[in-house]
Amino acid sequence: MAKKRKIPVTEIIVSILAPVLLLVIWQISAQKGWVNKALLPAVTRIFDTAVGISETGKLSGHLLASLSRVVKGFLAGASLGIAIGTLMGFSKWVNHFLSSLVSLLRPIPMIAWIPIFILWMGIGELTKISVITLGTFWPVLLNTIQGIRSVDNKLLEVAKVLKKKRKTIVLKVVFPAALPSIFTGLRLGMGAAWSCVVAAEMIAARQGIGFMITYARETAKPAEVFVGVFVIGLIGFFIDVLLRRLESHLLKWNTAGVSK
Amino acid sequence: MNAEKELSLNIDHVSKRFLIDGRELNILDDINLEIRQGEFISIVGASGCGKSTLLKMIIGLENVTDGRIVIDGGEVTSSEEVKIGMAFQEARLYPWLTVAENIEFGIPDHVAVADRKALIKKQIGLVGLKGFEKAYPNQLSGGMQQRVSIARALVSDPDILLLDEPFGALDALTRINMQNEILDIWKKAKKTMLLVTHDIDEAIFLSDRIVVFSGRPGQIRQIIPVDSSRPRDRSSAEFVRIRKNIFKEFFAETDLDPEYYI
Repeated sequence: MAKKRKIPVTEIIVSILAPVLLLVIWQISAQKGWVNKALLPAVTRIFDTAVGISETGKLSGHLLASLSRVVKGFLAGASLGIAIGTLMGFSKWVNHFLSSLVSLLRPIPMIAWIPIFILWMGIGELTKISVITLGTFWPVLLNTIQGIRSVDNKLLEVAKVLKKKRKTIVLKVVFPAALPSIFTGLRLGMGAAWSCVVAAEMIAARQGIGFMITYARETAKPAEVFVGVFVIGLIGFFIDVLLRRLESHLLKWNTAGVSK
Repeated sequence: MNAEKELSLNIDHVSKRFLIDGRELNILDDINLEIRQGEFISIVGASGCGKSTLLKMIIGLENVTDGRIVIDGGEVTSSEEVKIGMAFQEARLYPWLTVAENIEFGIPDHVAVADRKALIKKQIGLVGLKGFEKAYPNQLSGGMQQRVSIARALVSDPDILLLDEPFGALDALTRINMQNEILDIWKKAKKTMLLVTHDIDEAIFLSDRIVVFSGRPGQIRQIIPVDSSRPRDRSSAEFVRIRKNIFKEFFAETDLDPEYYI
């Protein structure tokens, strides 16, 4: 059904023109000595560094440490967000009980929680995972509530007319209807988790991409700082692509009509 | 014409009032209607005359203020058994389910998995959707969606099918096609059918009796039997006579001369 649209070659060229142009100007400025190499190393130098720390296993070690934290924190935050969001979405009273607390706590930036978590839990793994959990929790929570609330009453009426049990209505009508919104929450949550892990590692860690960047800066290795920053961007991008793929696979019905 | 058949649905002195802003609003006033097994009844009336509310009360989505509605000798309750099916103006399909899965949703939970396939297949054949079993609703045209909706309402084999302006949102050609098909289904499935519509021709084309509602509060103004054999010719003298008759109910002679508006 969903036919793959063939993207014209010119469109591809135009869309990658800006990043390529930036890299070229960057490279020339660095080679000609227009910019301080300690502040902006040449592109080739960054690339060599990336290859170097990949070969020694240094990069993958840090990356794996960060990814494992993200996975743990994301799973915890997403499950909590879906569970509490479901309760708040269904029950008026649970919603009244918790909504003011949510509005008070939600605007606090994740960075502000890090000192509190360190105070409570020290600088161990638990602190970092907790920051990620909280970062994931908010967008998943809000989108789950929103998804469950927005179920079309007309579709619920049909289920009532067909004398469906409450359990069937929840599983077969409300949840599927809420799923696109929950997925949006998960994607936003994954973005938050990825930025939280970097922030937490910059403040308190001995391993991970965030730590690698901070440490490279302290030991005056600017190329390594840039490698770290680019890797964060790339991984974030790939995770989002992966989640989008998963979404369009699971929610085929949401897009199936486009290529009618 | 079906006088010898048993009673299917009895609407007995039914009134409905809504409380709006602390004020009681009369929606339906003293409705009496006896519908026999296998009869095709249409209710016509202006919008807001409470005809859809009556269907909602029959199926239990709204409470009756006064009077009672008796189905097969029992009052309307929230029993497990699906005795009545309903199709709405919008198809109201679940967009995450395929055509076959949407129809399956209409099958009561106690039916064995093994029997479900046959039931679905039968309905798909009945509404003419063979080959579309795996399509999603947003890949179908409006008329096809409405057919799935009718199949979902019929698959539990209810005694009565309520149709709440199911063709109202379709274009004229599709609507006439669907009217032919519903007639076909009515003949094959032998259900009692109660259709709410504002399309007078549709009512005459399909019904054994036409119930004409007046507006606010909704009251039965006239019940018109249509005796001619089906399929009915929309330009026959009988058809035109009944159409005129119904027009007169809606537009007082001083308002309009029906001759010019048919």
